[in-house]
Amino acid sequence: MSERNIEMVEQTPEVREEHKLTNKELNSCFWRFTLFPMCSINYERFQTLTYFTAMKKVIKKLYPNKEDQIDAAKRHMAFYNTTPQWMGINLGISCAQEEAIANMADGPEKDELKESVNTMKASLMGPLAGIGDSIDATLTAIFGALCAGFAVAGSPIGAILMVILMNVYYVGICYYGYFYSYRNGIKIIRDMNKSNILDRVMEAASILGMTALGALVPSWVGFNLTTNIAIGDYVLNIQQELDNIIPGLAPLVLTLILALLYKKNVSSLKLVVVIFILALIFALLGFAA
Amino acid sequence: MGFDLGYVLYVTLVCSVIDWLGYGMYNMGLNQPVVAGAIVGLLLGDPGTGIVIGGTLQLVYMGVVAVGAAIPVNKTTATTVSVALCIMTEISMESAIALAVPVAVLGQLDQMLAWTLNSSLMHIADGYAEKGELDKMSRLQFVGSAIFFITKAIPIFLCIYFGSPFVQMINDNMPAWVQNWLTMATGMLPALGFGMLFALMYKPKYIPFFIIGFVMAAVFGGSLLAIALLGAAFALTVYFYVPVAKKKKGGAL
Repeated sequence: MSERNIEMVEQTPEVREEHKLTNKELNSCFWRFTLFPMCSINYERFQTLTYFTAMKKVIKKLYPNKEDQIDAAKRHMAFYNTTPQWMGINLGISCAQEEAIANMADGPEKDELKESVNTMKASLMGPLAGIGDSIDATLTAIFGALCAGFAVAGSPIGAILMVILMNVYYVGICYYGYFYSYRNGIKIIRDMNKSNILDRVMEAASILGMTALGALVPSWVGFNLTTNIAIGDYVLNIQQELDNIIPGLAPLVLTLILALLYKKNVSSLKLVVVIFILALIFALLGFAA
Repeated sequence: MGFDLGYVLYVTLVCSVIDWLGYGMYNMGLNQPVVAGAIVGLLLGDPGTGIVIGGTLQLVYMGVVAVGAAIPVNKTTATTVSVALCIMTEISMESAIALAVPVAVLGQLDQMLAWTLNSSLMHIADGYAEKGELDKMSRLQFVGSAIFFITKAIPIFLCIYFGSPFVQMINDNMPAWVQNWLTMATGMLPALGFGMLFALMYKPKYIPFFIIGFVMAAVFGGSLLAIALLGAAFALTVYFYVPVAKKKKGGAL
């Protein structure tokens, strides 16, 4: 993103005068993207229609003139795709930009700012999706791991806790991302970069995730090699021997092998097939789970 | 041994609504297997089965995440349908979990269909934009949502209507070694989720925490919550005490 774009948006708070967005439009935008982030997603332009729908009341309020409305509608029908709940950060900036445009006199500067709306969207959606997708994946995995622990033991606490945790995350990022970025424009991205807050949160989350993952492997991978091999009078129980080395060794090795294969770009579906074949071999060899 | 059509429709409705929430609306976290399984179980009168299958599938599909524009296999479809079939036909949970594997792929395919069908909405919306009919444009959102519901409901109905007698027949004639095989396989499946997640998060500097978690659980038999709290303590320590290197100025965002 060019410095010029950033400067233009940072100037926006001062020029808000004649056309002012009220809470009504801002809330409408918030609810529309929060409640229906993905429902018209498609292969051609992904979340574009959602983006426009969220901006609709804002456009109508700022541009009483029909020509301007059409102009703005077309502007927000340009390709858009990012992590669903993180869309708000971009929408907040778009709202601030549209407000500034509505308050400007016609001229080359106004046209330039109009263009910068889509430049901003195009240059933000990639980085937002990058950060959003990885935080989304990490949090879902950690929450899922914790809650599945309760569920596998048969307790309903897991399901309830999962709903609470997911909603705290979703509503938090939707609400604060959107309103903060509306008030501060592009500054939000700069703040994030300066304080490294996202990197630090991701690092902390990964540490928690890895510790939990280490505990999950021996707890929930049911991979025991319980069988007795008799050689003359000597009886060898493989699982007991493995347990003597360290309990949970078989699940650990299995997990690490699958991780390695996945890292080597073997698809998850192929790995499922691998597991079923391995299971068949072990079952036929007489190992009991 | 057919099932009452009304009952099949009820089951279809329950499964499709939860599945549809994932894309058709704000999902409230209900599309996560651990939650979806519990709800389907509750509504079909056997919450215990739903909770356990949901929890197991949450672990199996832990590493399956949507990144960018790719559509992954659908863990929600897998959960709802396998819980429903398990409760209806009273097959073992292991068989139900094995059943989830093909159903997840089906869920991925119907999603691709919905994404393709929704593409046509964009051209209609462009037409309305030319005429300045903004309200009609935003109403197309609901058409998209409806497309998601229909593309979910039809395959799920077929799965349950034709799938349940089929699954029951297979289950009644299942030899012991197949049952043993499935039990073995479903025990091993969570390793896939863990493995994928491990590959995703792996950095050499996180290995010590993985080892501590493993030893605490395997050797000392600590509960998951206790070990997670320990992990949280490590995370907070690193967050507060380890200074982070400042990023270089400029660069792409």
